[in-house]
Amino acid sequence: MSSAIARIFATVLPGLAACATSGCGRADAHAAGAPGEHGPPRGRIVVATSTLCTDLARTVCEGVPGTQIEGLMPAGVDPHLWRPTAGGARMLARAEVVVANGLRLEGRMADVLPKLARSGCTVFEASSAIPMDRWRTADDAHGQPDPHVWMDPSLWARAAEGLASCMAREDPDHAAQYAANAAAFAARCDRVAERVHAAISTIPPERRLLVTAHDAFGYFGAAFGIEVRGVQGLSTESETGLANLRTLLDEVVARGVPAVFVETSVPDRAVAALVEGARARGARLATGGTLHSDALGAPGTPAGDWEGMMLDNARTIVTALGGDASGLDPGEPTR
Amino acid sequence: MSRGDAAIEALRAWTPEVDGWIIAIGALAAIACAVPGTLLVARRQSMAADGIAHAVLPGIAGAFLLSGTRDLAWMAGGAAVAAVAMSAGSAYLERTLRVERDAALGIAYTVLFALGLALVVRAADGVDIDPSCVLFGAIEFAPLDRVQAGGHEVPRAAIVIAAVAAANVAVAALAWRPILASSFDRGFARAAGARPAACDAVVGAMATATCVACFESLGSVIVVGMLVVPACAARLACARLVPMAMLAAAIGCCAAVLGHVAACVAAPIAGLDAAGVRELSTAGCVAASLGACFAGVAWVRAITMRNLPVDGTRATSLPCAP
Repeated sequence: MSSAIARIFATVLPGLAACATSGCGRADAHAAGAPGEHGPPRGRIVVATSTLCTDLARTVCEGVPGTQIEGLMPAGVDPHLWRPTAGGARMLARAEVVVANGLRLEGRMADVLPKLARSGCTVFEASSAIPMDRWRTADDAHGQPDPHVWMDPSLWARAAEGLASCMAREDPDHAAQYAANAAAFAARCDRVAERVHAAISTIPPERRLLVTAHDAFGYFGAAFGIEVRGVQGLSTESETGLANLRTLLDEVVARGVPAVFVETSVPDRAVAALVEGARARGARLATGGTLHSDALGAPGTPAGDWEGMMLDNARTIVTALGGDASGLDPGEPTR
Repeated sequence: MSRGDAAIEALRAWTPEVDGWIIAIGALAAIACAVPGTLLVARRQSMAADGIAHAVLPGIAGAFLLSGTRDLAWMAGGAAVAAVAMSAGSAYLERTLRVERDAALGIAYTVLFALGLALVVRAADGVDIDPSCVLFGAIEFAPLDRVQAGGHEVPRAAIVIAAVAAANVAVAALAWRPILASSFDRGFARAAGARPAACDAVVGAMATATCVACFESLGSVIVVGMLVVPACAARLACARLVPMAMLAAAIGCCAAVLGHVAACVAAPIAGLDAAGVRELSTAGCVAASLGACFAGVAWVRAITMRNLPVDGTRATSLPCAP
């Protein structure tokens, strides 16, 4: 342990000396402080904020040489509440392009994104590629637009096209590749939308009510014809009102909705309260499963990319609400 | 890879333009805080540091709601109004209602702080001011907000805090004699023509300016620690005010370095990096390091005291009045 501490000091002190002597200027201190950490330049660095933005950037930049995608937030983290760390700041400091969702999804980065744009970094906000009249506004959100745009495949395809043209301005040599990736993605979006729509329409109409931990599925509901209620508001930061909880409970019990849903990135306290409340009234209500709302699953799992997440969510919803989810099986390739 | 290797790997990732500036901003804040902190501790008003750091919150939030900008002039004006309101309120409670001094401060600043939190949450509904950033700061992102200064790109926070540090030193130097006299013997100071109440106001103004300059990067809660803890630690070791302020600045700088190192290595050493935890909050770790530095100084003092002759102990403690 003590030798580890000694080694930590041996690493820190030359680094500090390097910082002091170089006046904390540009990056010539790597030579003194960290030999071999950064080798030759590795090409254009694209930093994406949430896991969904990282996935979008990977999709659009697929097959383009010299473009390196880094994700700021780890899998399963709630982007509304994600706090900056020194590692994140380091990543942003070396980014040439930052891909963010915008519309205040990254609640604690709202300050830093315009500053990055001012210091010469290209900041792309996925929501800005979507026409403003397609932004959804929740009734109780003080006119704040809903940031969860990836839930509507047609909108997310627009975001991919927007990112492709943004990347083409940065890197004109590969403009055709970016455009081709975005077009291929748009076609995939269409197919995903068809399958999800078909599956949702097998749910009996009176049960088509999707109750989730926070109001992340507004675009999903509008795209696929299912009513949506969130226990919390648009941001996971907002409080749950008791009156809101009671009206929600009334509706769920009256319509005989069999299941409500928790989300991977949100604590399930509020949803658990809803289930308890329904039990107390003698209604049969269960948690229908876990949805991926604001963060993808770990890479390699079924919900590890956008397409997998959409199909996984739809499968969970359709199964729990009594529909036929056989059209959503992962066996059927969509690529 | 062992945990120690993982920790060293975490430090190897440091870059001067981010980590260097994070430490530099922390160290500048320590220097800016050392002057008012030392004076407040010597004047037995360290509770006022707590009060001011909390009371500026409604001023800052109110100025933000009124102006809609985070312009420094508005923030400073709002903070000054709130600090004056806090001083006037606690003085009223103390004089008129005979509430004890610390209790009067406690009443005034908790009420103002609560009002400030309510205002911040109100502001957060509409615009981009975030309650947790006001409380805990966002020193990690401070290096990304750069302005041009003298041909170099320098973080705005570093310039603001350095300016306040210089102003604190200048004001203390200019008003040194009256401040010194009123710190130890208010009756003597009054007789000698220095006005103790005016000196209180000057020291309070320094502390307010420091809180406003630091709150964006360190957060309003951790500024209190930077004001009080290094000064108290330095007081254990020094008998005179100037060395005490210098030692306080040095202790604060040590805590800034230790804090950022701890923030980067704590997760790998504890084995949390496998669970996706990369770094801890630097501001929080700086505050914890302040406590560790205080403990270190107290420990050294306990050892040296043991070796001193009995009458030698008096010389190491600061003669303090009233």
